[in-house]
Amino acid sequence: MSDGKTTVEFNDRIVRQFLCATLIWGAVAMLVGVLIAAQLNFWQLNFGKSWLTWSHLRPLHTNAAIFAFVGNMMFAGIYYSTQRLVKARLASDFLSQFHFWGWQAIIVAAAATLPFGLTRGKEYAELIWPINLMVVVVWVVFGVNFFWTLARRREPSLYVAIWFYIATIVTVAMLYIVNHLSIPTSLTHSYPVFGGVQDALVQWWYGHNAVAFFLTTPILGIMYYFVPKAAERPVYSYRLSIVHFWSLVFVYIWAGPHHLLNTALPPWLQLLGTTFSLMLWAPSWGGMLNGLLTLRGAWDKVRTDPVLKFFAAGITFYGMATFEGPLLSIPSVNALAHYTDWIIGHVHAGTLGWNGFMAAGMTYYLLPRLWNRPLHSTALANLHFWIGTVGILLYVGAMWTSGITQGVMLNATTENGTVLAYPNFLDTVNAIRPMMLMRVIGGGLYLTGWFLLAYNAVRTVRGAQPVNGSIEVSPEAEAPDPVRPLRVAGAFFNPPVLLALVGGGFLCAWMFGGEFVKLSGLVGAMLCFALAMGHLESDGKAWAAWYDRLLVTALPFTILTLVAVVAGGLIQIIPTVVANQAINVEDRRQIPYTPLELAGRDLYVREGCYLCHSQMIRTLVPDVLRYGDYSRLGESIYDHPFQWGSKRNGPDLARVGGKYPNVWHLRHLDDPRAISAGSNMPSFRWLLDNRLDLSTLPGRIRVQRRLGVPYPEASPAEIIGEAQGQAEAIAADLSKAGAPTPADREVVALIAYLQKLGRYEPVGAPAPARSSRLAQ
Amino acid sequence: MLQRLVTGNPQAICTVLAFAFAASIFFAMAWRALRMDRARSDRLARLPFDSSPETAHDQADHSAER
Repeated sequence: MSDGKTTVEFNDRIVRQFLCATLIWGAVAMLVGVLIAAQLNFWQLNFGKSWLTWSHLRPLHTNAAIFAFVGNMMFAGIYYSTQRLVKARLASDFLSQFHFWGWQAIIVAAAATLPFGLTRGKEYAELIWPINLMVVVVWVVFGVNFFWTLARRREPSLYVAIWFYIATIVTVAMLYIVNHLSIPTSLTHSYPVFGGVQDALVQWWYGHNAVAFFLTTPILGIMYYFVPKAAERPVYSYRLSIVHFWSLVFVYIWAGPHHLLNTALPPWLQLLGTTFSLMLWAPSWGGMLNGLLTLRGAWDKVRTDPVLKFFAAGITFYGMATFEGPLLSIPSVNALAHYTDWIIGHVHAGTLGWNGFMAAGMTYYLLPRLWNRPLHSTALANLHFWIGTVGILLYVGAMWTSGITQGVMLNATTENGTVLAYPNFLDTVNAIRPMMLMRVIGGGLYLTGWFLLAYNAVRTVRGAQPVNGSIEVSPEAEAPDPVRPLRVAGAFFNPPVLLALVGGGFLCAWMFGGEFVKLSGLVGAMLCFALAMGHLESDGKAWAAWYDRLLVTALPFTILTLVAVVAGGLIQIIPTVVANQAINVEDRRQIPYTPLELAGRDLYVREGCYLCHSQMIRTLVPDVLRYGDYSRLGESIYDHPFQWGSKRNGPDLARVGGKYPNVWHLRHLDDPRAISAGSNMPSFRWLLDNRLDLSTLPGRIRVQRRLGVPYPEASPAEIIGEAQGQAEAIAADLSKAGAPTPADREVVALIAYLQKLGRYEPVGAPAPARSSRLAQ
Repeated sequence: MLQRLVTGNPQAICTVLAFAFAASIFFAMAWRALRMDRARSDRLARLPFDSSPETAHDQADHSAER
């Protein structure tokens, strides 16, 4: 210390730890990705082992890519940049270490459970409930450490990257908790509290915004810090970054329903998803241009500096993926693309191009700075860039071609649109095999590039001394900003906030209310708007001062950001939960599963069947011609979790019940190619060998009753007896068909479930006689 | 009370409301950003560079090729 100056040493150890974890888990995620891509071409690569089967490994791949790879990268970037932007060391070394080791424990727990079929059956939300609790605890620790650091900051202003980090922390917490609300039936199994259409909406509200607030906003914060640093010039337009932030926060959260277009989701939600998705074009491209234009005057460096090369390409992929997303949200485009490889190409343009290249650029930037040694080889880094770029282009190009080919073939009709041109689903699978092989090559190249990075990193840090950055802070730097922070009361009790909240409430009343409430809502909203305009006209400076002060006050800023994202979620979820219940459904209502069918359904979830087979016949002529009458909202109303699916590697199963005899399903699950020549479906042979565990059924039915599924009161003995009776009937049928199978095998329960799919009762009609007393 | 959402036809109103909502955010923030004091905007944009000078490693020649 000299001249009153204080030296602040940053906690860069935690950054190094997260950076190393990024390299390791990135390799694991990509390696599993290449394996499962190869399995779609060569079914033999499933090796007949349940834990190596495609449907067990696919959740491992997605979770590893999102939470292990991008998660660790995000934490490294956030911790490095935040300390420097606020001129303060992280608040707690203990919390930092707890965060790191806790997150790694979660990843290991995920890797130890997902391949063995321990899953919740919801995409990117597969982890079982004890791991969910670990995630919440670790995320809270991360949040506490982050906000505690902000509270101790020496720089009063909050740079825009910090805004993006704040939005990430609060929004991911909200999304994760709501979508993982479950009632456990055992230590490793639970049922989600939402069912059917409600579960579908909540799942894709979460799923879409996991992309938005886990894979996008934190990486944008990283972009706004690291790109200017690497280019050695400030961001192109700080003003544009402000518009970028608020537009994304307010608009992104509404767009989730675009994952459910042309389905049984209520039309108003589908329309909301489409409209808000289209409006995302503006902020996304504004942000992309802001990032790219930051390189103004530094384009010559892009040719030689691998860091800038990766950043420039990463931001370009961000622009490409965020152009494609809204495009795919147009219902007619979605009718072609949904359930096909086009969507897979789209998400990989984002994950490999945007996240992966930003991670690589950030790693090449940090390695020399965290170990105080020049990068081992710039030439190797440049080679990584070109191999990775060619890999992505091969991957994405192949998936576009594959997706459009399959979409066109599946939707093609003849005889004036009354007959399918390709009635056999396998025709479309075999048509895209070359593209699926191209994907393996592209993914393999990208993985090779990642290995080059890992090698370069090891050679760079080997024998080097890790160093922590530090700065000298003078007392003047800690002097208050000319803009004073807000007090908590002043942040909320002021005209802009109050008029916005009350006006929003009136708008909701207008939208959702009955006749009188609707009219009151309209009048109230107009009144609020007039008052706001009047007050803004007379006292606009107060509004501007409030906003300026908000930007230097972390807590109110965080709370108001949370309010913005909560509003977008609640307006979709509350009406769906209130209105779309079993009691209100029209036309058709699902018949609850018998105990054996429920056991079979749990196996269907365990085996990950939903990852290849949808259970949602869309309101599209080709879908109806291929799979039967379109799916009604009420037909899956008791499904906890919903199983509408998001990808069709195989045909839809919504109405497969009764379509084939029991023995067909048995032989198909045992050896798919014995039934469907050329199929790439793995064998599920172990289902024929594993004994069915019925002992857990009474507990599971008890939870189903709590969730509102209308099972009558029954003793455990009655439940198990009922299941055994149905199993024996199926076993007898199998024996009669020449495939004797003991009644206590898992495959029997799965057949019972598959044969139930598509069975419903008309709403308002007298209840039909059912085979199961418990399903009455 | 939510019957209109179940049975109603939303095309006429949902898109307009959604557009009005998003447009109000775009315009309000653009207006606020454009009116931001230039000196303040420049200062905020330079915040990533305020932590310099760091320790020697930040000035390390990391572009050296071997």
